[in-house]
Amino acid sequence: MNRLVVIWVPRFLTGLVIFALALFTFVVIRRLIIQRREKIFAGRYKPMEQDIIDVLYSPDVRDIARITAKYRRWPEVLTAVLVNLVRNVSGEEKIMLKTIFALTLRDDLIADLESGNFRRRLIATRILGMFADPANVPALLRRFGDKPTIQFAAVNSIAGFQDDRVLDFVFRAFEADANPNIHHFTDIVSKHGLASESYIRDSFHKPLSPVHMGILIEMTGLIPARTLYPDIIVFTGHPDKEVRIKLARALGRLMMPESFGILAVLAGDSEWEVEAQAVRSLGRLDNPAAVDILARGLHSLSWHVRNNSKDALLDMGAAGVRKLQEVSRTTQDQFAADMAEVGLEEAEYLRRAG
Amino acid sequence: MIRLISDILDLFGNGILVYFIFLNFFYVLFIVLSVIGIIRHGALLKYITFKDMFNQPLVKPVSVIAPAFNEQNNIVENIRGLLALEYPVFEVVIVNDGSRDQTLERITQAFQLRKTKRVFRKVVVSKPIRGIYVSPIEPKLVVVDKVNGGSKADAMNAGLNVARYPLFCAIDCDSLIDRDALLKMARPFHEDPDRTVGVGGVVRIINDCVTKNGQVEKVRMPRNWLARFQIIEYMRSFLGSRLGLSKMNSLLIISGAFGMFRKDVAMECGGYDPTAIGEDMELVCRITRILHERKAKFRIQFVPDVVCWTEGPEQWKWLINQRNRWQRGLIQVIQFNSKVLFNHKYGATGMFALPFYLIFEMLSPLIELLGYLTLAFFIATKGLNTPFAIKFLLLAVVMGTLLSLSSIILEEYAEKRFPRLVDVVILFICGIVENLGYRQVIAFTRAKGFWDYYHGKNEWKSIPRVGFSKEQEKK
Repeated sequence: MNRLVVIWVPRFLTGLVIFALALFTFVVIRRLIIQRREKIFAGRYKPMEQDIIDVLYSPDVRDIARITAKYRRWPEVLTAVLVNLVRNVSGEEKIMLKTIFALTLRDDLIADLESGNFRRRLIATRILGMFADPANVPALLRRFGDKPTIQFAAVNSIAGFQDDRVLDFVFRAFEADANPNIHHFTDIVSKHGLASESYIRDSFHKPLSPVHMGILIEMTGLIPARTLYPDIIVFTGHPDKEVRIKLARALGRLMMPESFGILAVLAGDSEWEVEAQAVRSLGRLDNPAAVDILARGLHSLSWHVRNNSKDALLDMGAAGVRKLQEVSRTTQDQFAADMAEVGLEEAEYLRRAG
Repeated sequence: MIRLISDILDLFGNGILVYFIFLNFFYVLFIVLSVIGIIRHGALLKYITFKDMFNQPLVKPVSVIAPAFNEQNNIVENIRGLLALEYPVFEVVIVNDGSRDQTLERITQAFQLRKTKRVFRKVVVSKPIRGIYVSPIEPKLVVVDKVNGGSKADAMNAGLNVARYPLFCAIDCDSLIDRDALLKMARPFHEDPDRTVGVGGVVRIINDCVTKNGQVEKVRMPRNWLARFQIIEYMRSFLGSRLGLSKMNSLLIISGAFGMFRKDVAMECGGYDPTAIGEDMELVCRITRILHERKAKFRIQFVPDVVCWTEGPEQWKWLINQRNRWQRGLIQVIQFNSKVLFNHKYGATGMFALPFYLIFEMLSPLIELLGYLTLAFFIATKGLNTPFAIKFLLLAVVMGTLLSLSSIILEEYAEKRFPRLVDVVILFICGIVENLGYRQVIAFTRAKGFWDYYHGKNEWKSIPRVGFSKEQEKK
């Protein structure tokens, strides 16, 4: 037994020390390798960047071929240079950069989009987005079926494409998606602004689900696309609560005086969520007739409706503040009075802040 | 008689050995998963600027809720740090939990607070709120002054009731977070908005690091050995275990010092439990349990590049107090969620995560201590079972050391590592030395946590802080 102790304990301890030393050596070697790599990277980066900048301003287009042939063998550094430059140039220089990108990196990245390796797919999705070529949109849209991180990257990439053809792809994907993600599509469409209007209108006239309709209404408000007003007000009596909430929000963003009647109806909705959104939107219309509706909202059983009514009255300026003063002084409803007083305090802060 | 006891202990000793084999197996597995996770996470950050989030139309605003109790020394500096965070839309809700010092007065003076009649919905329970204050010069700041509830959970609930935004970030007032931490933390909520309900980050020890303007400028090794041992422990715990558990969809702890949640989900689940000793783990477990019962699809994620810096206790008294409380919190959470244990209806939580916490986290100090006692018994009776002794030391101490050392590798891959090699050498020394005394004291403290828990000890002593703002900026 003692022999075991004499033999094995020192062996374990020696093994432990060796392991510790090995790990430490690993750490040191790893740091050295990283330092060396960084040095090599920096050594290649600067001349490559200068060369590419020179090409961007060179009258001789053959320089592009020279550059691509020269630097294709260092894709990592080339990617870093192109990515940094593409964020900082515009116009013809950007087109030149895109050409260099197309001749060097694009094909590999397109292939990477279908790779089994998560990292490759993600990086390809991001970089392709930066060099916004509409031809890549269908491949990027397929990433909507990928893992959430890649989906998000694809949305950001597509949202950055300032080309109308992109919307064609996006709306086709939207309509085909049984359960579309509101964030994905609204992010993209809101970046394209009014160019999306005709696509939204076309989609309104297709037999799509309430989820789709809700997203289309949300898009209308976010742009904001006032010409789509007739297309969205038909949803006033829609049985789906979510659609009515989105309608109330969109009408608030469109700020069209004629929507007052519809918002007044929605402010009396049986669902408090719709009511809360409708009163908030009413405040933006600057219609004096809304003051009484909002004052009624201060007496609602729902805190959200009371809170939004208070905010909406503040949005209405002097008339709203007068109503808040009146409610705080006269009402027997303590909840309404408290909310009115909070509104008055906020008005005071706003006044001081100028 | 001694022979019989000896035989029983022999059998028991073998059980302990099997236990340690499994324990070490899981920890090795977690470290491997964590290395993969950290390397993979590095790819997630390539060619991305988090500030793109500022351009998104539907970005989710965040309420940062920070309870403060007798924090007069650092509170103003810490609030300034929180207000300087980078995020498109956020508010900072400071909950003054009945401080007996000048905490509220100092905030009032620094930010010209004015009492407001702001109305809020009391959805989750908390002690009465005495007043809500806003600052005309810092519109993002809201200060809630409340009656002391004796627990952080109570203060968090008050903050939750007053908070306005759909996401909330719970942080400790005495911690520092990186300026872009909210952007990084909120990323999973934007990537997978329907399923992500909670996100946790890494907590690291700030002692002796150099700070400037509320940010950690240079990562340094503390001079105090207790703080050094805690660095190794935190590495094992956050970079090793939690990242590994997260990869297995089994994360049940998001540190109360820094975690982000969907407010609607937390509120629906009843908010923080003021009776909970470890309110952070209790909330995550309850959310997990309720969402499993509703058959909802959800994810609780761990983001290894988000760092929250906190002061570690530098005196045994406070360290023992802290670990004892953590142990009592763990026992309580497992007791509260006993129906989840080994219940397949709760998926990975029921069949793996909670049983793991029960067997390998909660019971480990008891078993380790029993192992030492068995060894002591054999030595005392001069019947030392040498193979047992060797195997026990190998599995409990040597393997423990190997795991500690391996976790240093995780640090190498993580962000903001120790830049000086001398600090890495100290880490290695700590990884070995902590197994010779420190670990046993912690095991004993945690084992005592059982006794204290079953005798109803529920006190919560806040650890005195040295403070890391001005003192260290002078360096």
